[in-house]
Amino acid sequence: MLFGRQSSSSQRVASVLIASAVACIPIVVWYVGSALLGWAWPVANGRFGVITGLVGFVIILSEILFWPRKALLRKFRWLGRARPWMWCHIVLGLVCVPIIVLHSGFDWGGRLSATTMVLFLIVIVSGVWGLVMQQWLPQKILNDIPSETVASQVEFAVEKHVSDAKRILDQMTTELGSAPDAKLGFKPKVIGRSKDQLSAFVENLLVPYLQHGRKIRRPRDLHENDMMHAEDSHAKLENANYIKLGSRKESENLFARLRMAIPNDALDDLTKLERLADIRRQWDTHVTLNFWLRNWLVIHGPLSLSMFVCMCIHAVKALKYW
Amino acid sequence: MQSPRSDSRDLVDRYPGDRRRYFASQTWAEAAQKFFRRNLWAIAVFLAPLIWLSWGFANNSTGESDYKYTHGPLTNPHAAFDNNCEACHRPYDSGSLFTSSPIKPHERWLDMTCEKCHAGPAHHGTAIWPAGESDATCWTCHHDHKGRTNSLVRIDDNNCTKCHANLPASYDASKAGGDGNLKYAAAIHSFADHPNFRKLDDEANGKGAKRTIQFSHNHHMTLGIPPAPGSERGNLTKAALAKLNGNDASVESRYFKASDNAMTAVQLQCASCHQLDAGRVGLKGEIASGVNLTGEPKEAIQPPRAEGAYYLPINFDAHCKACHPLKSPEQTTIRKVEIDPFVLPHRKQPAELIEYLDAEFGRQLLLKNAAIKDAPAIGSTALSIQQEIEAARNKALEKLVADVNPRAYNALNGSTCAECHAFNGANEPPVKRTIVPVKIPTVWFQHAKFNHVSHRAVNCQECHPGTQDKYDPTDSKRFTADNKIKILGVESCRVCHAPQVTTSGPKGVSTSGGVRHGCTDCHRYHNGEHAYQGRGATARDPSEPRLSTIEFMLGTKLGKP
Repeated sequence: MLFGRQSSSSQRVASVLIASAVACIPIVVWYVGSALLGWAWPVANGRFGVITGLVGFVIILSEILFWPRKALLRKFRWLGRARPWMWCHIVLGLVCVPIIVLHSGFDWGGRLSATTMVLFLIVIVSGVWGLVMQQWLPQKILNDIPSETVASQVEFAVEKHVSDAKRILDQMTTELGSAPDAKLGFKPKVIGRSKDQLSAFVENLLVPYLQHGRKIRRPRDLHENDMMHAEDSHAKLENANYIKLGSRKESENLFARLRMAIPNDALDDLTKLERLADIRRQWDTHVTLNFWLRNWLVIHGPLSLSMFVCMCIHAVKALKYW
Repeated sequence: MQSPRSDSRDLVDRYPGDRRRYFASQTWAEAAQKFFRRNLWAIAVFLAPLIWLSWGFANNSTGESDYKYTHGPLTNPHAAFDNNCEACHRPYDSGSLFTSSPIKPHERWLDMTCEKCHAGPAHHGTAIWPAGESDATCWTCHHDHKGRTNSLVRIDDNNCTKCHANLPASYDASKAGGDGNLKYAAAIHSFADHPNFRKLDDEANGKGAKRTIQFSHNHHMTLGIPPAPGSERGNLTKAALAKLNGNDASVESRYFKASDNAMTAVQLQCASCHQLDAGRVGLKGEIASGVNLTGEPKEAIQPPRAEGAYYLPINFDAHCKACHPLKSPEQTTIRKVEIDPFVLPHRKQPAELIEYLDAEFGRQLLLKNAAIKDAPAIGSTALSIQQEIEAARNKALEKLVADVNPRAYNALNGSTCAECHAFNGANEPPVKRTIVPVKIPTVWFQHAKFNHVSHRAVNCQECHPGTQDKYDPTDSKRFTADNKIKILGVESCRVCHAPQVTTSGPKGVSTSGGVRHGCTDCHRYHNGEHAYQGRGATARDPSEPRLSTIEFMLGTKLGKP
């Protein structure tokens, strides 16, 4: 969710950080006042401490309920749109920070309360981190990945690209895609040594690259031992070129050399192959950005639940046994 | 502006399969497997802190797991209740979690049942409590769960001074009864401004009790206990004491060394008369020397042992009789029968001595005069014998209650009660005079405790000056001046019981004070301040009958919470 109405991602990130800092002001003020000005330290089991604890509990409970509520929103439209709920989730989460910290009385307490507080702080920090990422990365994806797709489905989507690449290769090197020739009948667009070179490129470099992206640095069937002792300099060249496909500039150079080796009427098909490599490169970047866009959820979500469990135990223990 | 159509959309549009089933698994098992595979990290992150927390509680070598529900171990006397909260805390059911105040949930744990074992008379029944403290409860002052060696009765001064620093504001006269006047110091902030001992204040204000016994410490602490000028006797020597006591070896051993010769003058020490309660009974149960309650059931009226905090009361038989044997005066009757002095019982009023005197006079007349011995029991002779006995008795009584002549030998001969005692009815016949009861307090502090054994390193005179000063037999006020209470006052306590002060002077650096000086170092409450009411006294019993052994271990009375 975008935080603020600024169009610049950097401004929105700054807004998030400023809001987080504002949430910490009561903590700093009270701590400084107690440490230097002789104010009373907040006490967790005093009137103020219990009230802040209960308020914090209610807020965190509503924050946790955002999870099932999100699923319910799809089903029950009367619950409203997700954006206001998310806005409340963010604001209440930040408001909760001073409440819970002051509830603690600047004391970790025992193992349970310390664990709960640590989890709470991690959840808050991960939430702020995620909010920052969401202000920045979607804009970056929008700008840098024009061929965006569902990141989790990249591995499936590339299968279509692979079949396209093979189909295009067939169109270029066999009669299947050739135009009728008056003298020779149907004639492939690319023949001879160029055909071999193009076929080797597509089958040995492009298709594996489309299938595995930047995860594979060398062809699967070419072991390191073979590379070191390969007499075929062509294989060495392919391996180096394979790595180059991951780089936009190197890829352009590679395809530029291929263009010089094939006839002009096959250039459009070669451009399509280049486009497939480019999309694969974008998707690799997309997967990376998507990882950073969502990886905080692996921390934020599960630890929120852990913290909630600890908080419930802490609340019952505090109210009943303390 | 409409964004350009994505190339991926074109690719997706070419997907020939069922898009609604594209992401769906076919079976629940596959769905579960897919869920766990995709959320493995999330599940691990969720479980990690909970597992760590559980492991910490289950395997805690520091013992923290023992204190999950407590602030700390109980003090030694309550150690048996470490795992039995309901021994002290009033039990609550699960519903009380919601019915009790959510703002002050911890106060539920302060609803305790101390009175099951401890009596709690309302020391603070007249208190007006500060705001926020609704009532006087045990936990207001006594805090447990602070370790085995924590003392529940040694509490911080703040618990006392929050009221006693301005007692009029914290004192409800209507609850006090009586005249409603404040009976205690109005403002005490610490031991530094603690008022003087009450008896010294009363004495200074002329409200002190009039002493009814005449005694000079200075005189008795002077070598040989010298007589007044012109007295018939000399210094009290070993030989003189032996003569007074019929060569009783036990008496000599109390006041003299074996190496002393017969003419060695006696030198009394404080301990010659003042004996701690701990030293009265020997290791084998025998009554220690010096305690000779002739004719009294000693074992029955004396405590078998004590902690040695207090000195036992001065007792005539134990501490005076050796030098001041109480004997009838020598006299000659009408028939010229010389009556030998005989021992008289102590603790008798003159009227009560009549039967003793009559019996002994009659016995000696019968023994020493044959005519009386053979006279008929009825008749004029008998009547004259009776009159002779009465005359001798009245004469003896008159001597016994007469003002003492300091120069007279009878100061040692023990022929007069007035040697020490004051009398009522000076103008009455001797038989109608009464000895004023001696009211020397056995324990002088009414609201504080003092342990002499704890202070045995201090010389007696440092706190009790005027007990070994130079004695001037010619000073006419030597007795009246000696009747003041022989204690310095609270200032003598503050020499040590005060914050430590380090001073530097010509002789170097010296320190003073530093000994604890809290309120509870001297004061006890809930009937604990009474020296005669120690632990186990009825006044310190709980209001309800005592718990049985099983009930004590359970911490509750069987059949009721």
